[in-house]
Amino acid sequence: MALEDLAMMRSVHGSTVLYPSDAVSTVHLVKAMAETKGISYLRATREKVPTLYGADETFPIGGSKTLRSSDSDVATIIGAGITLHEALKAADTLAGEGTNVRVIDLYSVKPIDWAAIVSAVQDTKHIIVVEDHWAQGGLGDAVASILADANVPMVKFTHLCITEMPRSGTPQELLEKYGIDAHAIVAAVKAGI
Amino acid sequence: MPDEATLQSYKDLAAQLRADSIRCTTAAGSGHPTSGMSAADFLAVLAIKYLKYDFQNPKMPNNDHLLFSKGHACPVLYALYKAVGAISDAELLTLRQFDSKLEGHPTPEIPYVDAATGSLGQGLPIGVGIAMAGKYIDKLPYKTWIVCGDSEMAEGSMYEALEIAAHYELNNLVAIVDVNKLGQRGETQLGHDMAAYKARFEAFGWHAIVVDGHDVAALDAAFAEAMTADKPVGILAKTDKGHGVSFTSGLPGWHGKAMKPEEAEKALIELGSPKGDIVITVQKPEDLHPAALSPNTDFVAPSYPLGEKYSARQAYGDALKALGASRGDIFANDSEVSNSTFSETFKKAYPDRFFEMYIAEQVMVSVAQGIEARGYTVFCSTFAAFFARAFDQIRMGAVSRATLH
Ligand SMILES: Cc1ncc(C[n+]2csc(CCOP(=O)(O)OP(=O)(O)O)c2C)c(N)n1
Repeated sequence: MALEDLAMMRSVHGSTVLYPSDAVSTVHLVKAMAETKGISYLRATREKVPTLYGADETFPIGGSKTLRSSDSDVATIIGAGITLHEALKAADTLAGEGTNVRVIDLYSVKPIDWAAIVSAVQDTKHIIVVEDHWAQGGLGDAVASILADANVPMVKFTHLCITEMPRSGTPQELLEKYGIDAHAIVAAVKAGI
Repeated sequence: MPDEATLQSYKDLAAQLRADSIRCTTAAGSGHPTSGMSAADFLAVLAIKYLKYDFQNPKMPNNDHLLFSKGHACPVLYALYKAVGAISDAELLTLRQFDSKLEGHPTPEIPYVDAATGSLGQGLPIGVGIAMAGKYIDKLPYKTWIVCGDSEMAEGSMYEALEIAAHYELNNLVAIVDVNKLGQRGETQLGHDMAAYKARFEAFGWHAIVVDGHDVAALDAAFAEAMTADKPVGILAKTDKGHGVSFTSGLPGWHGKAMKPEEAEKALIELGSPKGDIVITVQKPEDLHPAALSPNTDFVAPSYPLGEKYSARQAYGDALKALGASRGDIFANDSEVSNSTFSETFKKAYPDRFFEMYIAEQVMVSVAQGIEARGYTVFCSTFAAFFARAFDQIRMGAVSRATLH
């Protein structure tokens, strides 16, 4: 597991940086990479995770997928890879308690789906980015730079990411210990209400 | 032994290359004339007798490749482009101007340049990739010639390249090391210890030839030997930085310095006031075409039932294999972790299109760039953390406007 790779690859001129969350999107994005000029990078995680998408979904570079949304979302959770699955668990837990949140699969970290993020900012009060990466240079920074650039009213922004030097453990232990699991996401949503 | 006239033609061209390196850097007010002056003799011999390149048609598949791993020495490369009639004298004198394609370090904006160099330690590894493409993919007889600096030989990536080149038996690759004893700030670790360079190249499985880099007859013999070797060849040329001019030859303090106009004037007189009008005809390669690839077919995506569990890395391997089936131009490199990254799924299906790069991430990325420079598509895989080791290669790949995966 690397915690610097997204920052490193995002900084390369003209690069494409992809972080799929399931097998179907991985296949689509590997194929898209082969057709993409310049430097492209795909982070493929080790953990087995449930397939989220049907075979006929498309994953254009620069796009994203909104997996949960309603008219009454109180927050948007943005993740990719392993953390997207935590975001979905958190959304289900919250839905059980009557709280709706939007969940975005940010599989294309660069270029980024500006429009989806801007609408999320407009529609929901709280943007929560959750990622398995250091604070600097990953998904959180990519989203924060849109919040700063887009001419939209400021919303609450929470960045759940790795903030201390990790040690060995099972994936679930690590997600929990470093505050990027479903519990931490639920707590972040509640803190924003 | 070449006749007197041939030997004289080498000397005359070498003098012109030195003079032009000085003229264009003095006109620019910056650049590296002395780094090219040490290399002028071997470049003259190479261009007149051994290089096969159609400068009218740089895309010709069977052209040789000439890369300056020591990219900063490009004034002499540009002087060579002038001498073969590829650029004019007027264009040579635009070196380092804002709108000139002759930048301070070579980039593929120049049609005869395969990769941007300047970050030392990268040209040889990229050349290894081109030579691998030549031997295993194009299956063409072209040669890849790489001009390396001796101070550059301190870079670890050069040794990754030496090792992989020997492993892949690249008898189509020739590295010429310009052992001019000096780096940027002073002497290198080995100075003129030619035996040490030879021992290193031989230890890595190369055929090493030590030669007086200013003796054109000896250089001719060294190149002749390199043409027939059954291994990658290192021509280790003992040279003087700034050779040909009394106040620069072998002297420190001149690295990366253009001569002042009055110094340049004196230098040109010492070089015999070359007229600068020599234009040579470089031999053209045989008009051969790359080996056929397996035919393209429709992409058939592997399928994964909703809700069932798979890892993304497993899907990466499946996707690569599916791509390999649909496109004959897809290749893969991995640095000794193919059973973790699942690139072995591709390897099992297409063993001839998979290159094991061992635990040498820098050369893995550079080799991919070299193969891509020949028009193929290469996917590199390793653990995400280890790509950081090749970050400078990736960064320079962007400068090259290369496509890398
Ligand atoms: C990776 C890297 N480190 C440092 C430099 C700065 N630099 C440019 S030329 C040079 C000296 C090179 O000496 P050598 O390879 O012997 O070439 P020469 O000019 O002596 O022929 C240095 C240190 C660089 N270009 N790349």
